[in-house]
Amino acid sequence: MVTARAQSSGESSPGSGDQTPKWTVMIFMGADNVPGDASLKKEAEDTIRMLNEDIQPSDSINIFVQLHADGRIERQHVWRGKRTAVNLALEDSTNGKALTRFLDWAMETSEHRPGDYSMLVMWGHTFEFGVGPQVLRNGIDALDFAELSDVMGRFQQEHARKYPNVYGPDEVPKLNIIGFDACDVATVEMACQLEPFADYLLASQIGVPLPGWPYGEVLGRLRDPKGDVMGPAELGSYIARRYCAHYAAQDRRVTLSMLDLKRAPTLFDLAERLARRLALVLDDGDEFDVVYDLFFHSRTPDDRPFIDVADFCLNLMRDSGYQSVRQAAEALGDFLITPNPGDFESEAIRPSAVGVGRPFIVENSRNSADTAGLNGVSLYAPHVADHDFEKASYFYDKFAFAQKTLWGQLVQGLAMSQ
Amino acid sequence: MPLDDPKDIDRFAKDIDRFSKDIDRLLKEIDRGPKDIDRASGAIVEDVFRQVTGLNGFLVVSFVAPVAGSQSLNGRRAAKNPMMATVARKAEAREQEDAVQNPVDPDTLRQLLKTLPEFLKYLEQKAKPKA
Repeated sequence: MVTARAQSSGESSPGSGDQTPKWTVMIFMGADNVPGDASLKKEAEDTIRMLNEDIQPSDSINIFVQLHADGRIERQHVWRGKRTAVNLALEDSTNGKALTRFLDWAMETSEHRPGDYSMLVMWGHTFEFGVGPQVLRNGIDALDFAELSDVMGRFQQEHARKYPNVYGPDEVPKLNIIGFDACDVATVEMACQLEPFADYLLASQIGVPLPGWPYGEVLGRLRDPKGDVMGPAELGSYIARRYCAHYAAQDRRVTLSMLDLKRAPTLFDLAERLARRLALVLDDGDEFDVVYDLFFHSRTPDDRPFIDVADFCLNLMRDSGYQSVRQAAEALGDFLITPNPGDFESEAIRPSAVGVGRPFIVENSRNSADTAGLNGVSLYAPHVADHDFEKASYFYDKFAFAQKTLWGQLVQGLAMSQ
Repeated sequence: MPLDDPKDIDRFAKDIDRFSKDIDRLLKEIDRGPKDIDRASGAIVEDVFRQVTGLNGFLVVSFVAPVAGSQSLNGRRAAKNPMMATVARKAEAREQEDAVQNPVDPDTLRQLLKTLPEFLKYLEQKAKPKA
């Protein structure tokens, strides 16, 4: 993403080599108390303190936090500014504008230039396919993931309009990484939803224990880079590994994976193909029973309504009675795991910085035998858990993936068959 | 899409190999007994046709009998749920739409058609009750 400085100074295009890239890290924290969820206020405060105290200031990184708690919004440019309350009388924070304002403020303040790297982290509880739930008069409201993509889309358009000298007529800014320090977000649905807005999705297939990512450790390398500043693919992999190593020491089950959103359209097509092939054969009662059970064999831990996609594909390849299903499963499974050499020629950018040669699941880190069947990305499957799919379907059906593929209808049909 | 590309030929050979495995599977199903013959042959023949005609990613669903509403299958839990039949019909419609948009290459089709009578004859012979 690019801001005023780039426009006025005519900074270089990404990777041209005449500037050292900087990172702009933006952490959007939702810590309002919600009945049934653990309070996040203390963890949020601890995280902000960690950012301020455990990481030494560095020119190569700008860190911004925005905390939503107790009905207030506060912002800070870590190290370089005090934490201040947002005047809600002056700044509209409804309908996702709190996020777009935050992004805009962070980009301007850091004087983000073309070629610099950016990461947005959504921190907080997830709630029915949304993040950052708040208690309102008429119930609990969260920024659901479909709304999140609307908000990101609005930001892209506004930002591109604001800097017309930087972006061409069809160009819009993109984040390098969008991360979720939140539960159950590494899904095919999210990858397809966020593909227009970021290069990589960094998220977990399972729950994220409090206090979440160890920011001091994961951003420590950026504070004091030994050599070049890490590129997006390198930082994402590093975060995933350090996160899992951190909790291994504390004996907590965790996973974190990074997905290459640039290839999400192919993922969409292959998942739709598998959904169709399954739909076409499930009126065979024997096959129905086999597939129904394979969903259970592939489910993620903790009674969550998700299956691991690669594991499911492998199970179908082994046990489905239909070649068309086995073929579709193989194609999808290969896509997730097979390295993608691609064409890449640049003297200015290290191939590893931008993930050249990596598969769609760029990184998959996990820390225990419980998570051995998790390969980095999940799909919604309500029948594998004790889950109110009818209530969740209001939110789930907002996903572009649910609307445009048959997967949602297929798995809801399976849930209704219980 | 003529099969002059080595990758296509390789793919074709692979499909033939899988095709023959499916025939083996069909024979095993038939061997299970008369009760399962219809279900097994119906389902597997449909599947075999789908994949043979789906070489190189092109699917010719016009060869495939409609799946939804097929009386030869004895769905268990699936039969209780009309939503599954609806999803199957939608899948069929989408496949047909794709087939129209991505018609199979005539050369490939010609090769497939050549194998079809032989395949049907083979099935008929195997399905006959043993004397």
